[in-house]
This record gives sequence, structure tokens and C-alpha cells, in this order.
Amino acid sequence: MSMPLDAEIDTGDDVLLARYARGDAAAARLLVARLTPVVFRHAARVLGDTAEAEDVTQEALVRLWKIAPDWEAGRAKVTTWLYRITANLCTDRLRKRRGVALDDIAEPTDPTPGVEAQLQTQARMDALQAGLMQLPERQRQAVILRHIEGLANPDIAQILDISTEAVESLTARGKRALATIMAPQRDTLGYDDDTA
Amino acid sequence: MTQPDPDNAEMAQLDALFAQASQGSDMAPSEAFMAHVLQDALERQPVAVIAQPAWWRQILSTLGGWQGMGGLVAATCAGFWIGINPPDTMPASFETLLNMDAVYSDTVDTADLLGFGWDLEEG
Repeated sequence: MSMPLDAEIDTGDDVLLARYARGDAAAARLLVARLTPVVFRHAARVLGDTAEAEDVTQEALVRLWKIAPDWEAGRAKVTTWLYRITANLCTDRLRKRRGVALDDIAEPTDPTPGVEAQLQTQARMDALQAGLMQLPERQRQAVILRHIEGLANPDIAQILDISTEAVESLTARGKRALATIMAPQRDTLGYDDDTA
Repeated sequence: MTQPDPDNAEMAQLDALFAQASQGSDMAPSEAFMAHVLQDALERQPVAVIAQPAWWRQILSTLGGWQGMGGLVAATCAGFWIGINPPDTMPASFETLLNMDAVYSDTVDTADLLGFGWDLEEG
């Protein structure tokens, strides 16, 4: 599916959302192309399950389409609002899922076989995902938003509905815990090949 | 049992992993899913409403816009003023046209004008 992203790369999400609400189909295409990967990636990292991440993404975006006519420009960033909805939907799913063993959680899809570097990268990503899944849910959300999605602490505070100080604490503790979890895999994942 | 704190090397490796993960190449939604989301978006999109112009705008447009309306108003005012206070230089034929020389006259018998030829028909 090709979408004309380049032409309107500087157009803000809120402007596109206003155009969407006025019936502009091109704005709908741009928003889908821009926001779906963001929401899906976060949901997939938090949930560790592609199918569930698709459900959450679809639901989060449907809520965005519904609120579009009433969206007040400048009230909040569209992505922050979406992250917040996604984080809450993920929390709901994880609560329902409580009791499911870590081994039952689906692994990410297999990479294209045959290329050693790709396999290594995929193995590292899988290990990271497995490590993230061992963190408490709030820590996981905070670590993903801060260190993978690259959001600023005040934005994360808005998304998780906590103070900026609490975000700093969550991300610091989460990162330390993750490093400790992943330390035993240091040799098998071949980090030293990169860092030497 | 408490685990030992990770050392700097382990934290640096984790940072490298985060950087790799932030590229998101391993977590991209499928094309089919993207198409599904787009279909959702288009189905729920409000229909574009093309607002009808106000009645006075429609009239204005029929008369040729502001320019046309301005000309019409100017011509109306000029005509009205000439009717009230005709200029001295106005030709007599205009005064006739404006019915300004109409006076009541006893000397003209309207029956002569209006009854012309009736007597022939009546015998």
C-alpha cells in the first residue's frame, strides 16, 4: 500500500485529524500510515503478541476516528493521546491475561532465514522482548516509551497518568532490572562482537 | 536473594539494543492489517458537507457580485434623484417621458379623443 507521505510530512497530526473530520480521504490515508505503526509497535512490545497488538491498535484508532470531529486543536498531542489509550488497552489485556505463563506468550514472527546477521539481530530483539515481558507492566510501559519510542518524560507522565518524577524512577528501575535479566545472555547474543 | 547491579558495560549493551529496537523493523504492522485499519478509518469518516451559500449570497451572485450590486444601487439612486430634482439642462423630451409637463386642461374634451370612431360603428 503506497501512501503519499512525503508531500505532507510537515503537516501536524492535529491538522490531518481536522481534515479527516471534514471528510478528507487523503488525510485518513496519511493518518493511518503515520499512526498505525506507532500504536502497533508499542502494543506489540507491551503485550508481546502480534495478534493482540493488532486488536489493540484497531481499537485505539477506532476511538481516534470517533473523537476526530470533537478534537480540540492544541488540547493534547494526537500521539500522546493515542499512546495513553494504547497503554490503557494493553493494561486491560494484561490484567485479563494474568496467570498465563511466560512460555505461553507468542514469540515474535520468525525472520527471513539464511542471513546470519539478520538472525542475530532477531535473536537480540527476541531476547529484549522476552526481557521486557519479565518487567512489571508499568515499568515495561515506561521503559518502552522512554528508551524505544524515545518519548520525553513529561509526555510519558501524561500517558501513564503519573508524575514526571515517578516516570524517572520507573524507567531507571526498569532499565536496571532489564539489564540484570539480560546479563546471562550476554555471550549467546554476541554483544561483545559489536562493543569490542 | 538480590541480584547484583548491572555494570556499565551491560547498561551500554542495553542501550545498543534499545537503539536497534527503536528502528522498529522487527515490529512493523503487516500490509493487510494496514489496509484493514484504513478501511475502518474510511468507513467511520464523517461525510464531507458542502455548505449551501446563504440566500443573500445567492442573490448577490445572480446580480454579478459586489460590483454588479454597486452599479445597480448607483443607477437606482441616480434615477431617483433625477426624478425628484431634474437638472435644468435636461432635454424637453425627457420631461415628457417623465410626465413632468402633464397638466389638467378643461379645453380638451377627452370624449373627442376616446370616442373617436365609435359613432360610426354604432350607426
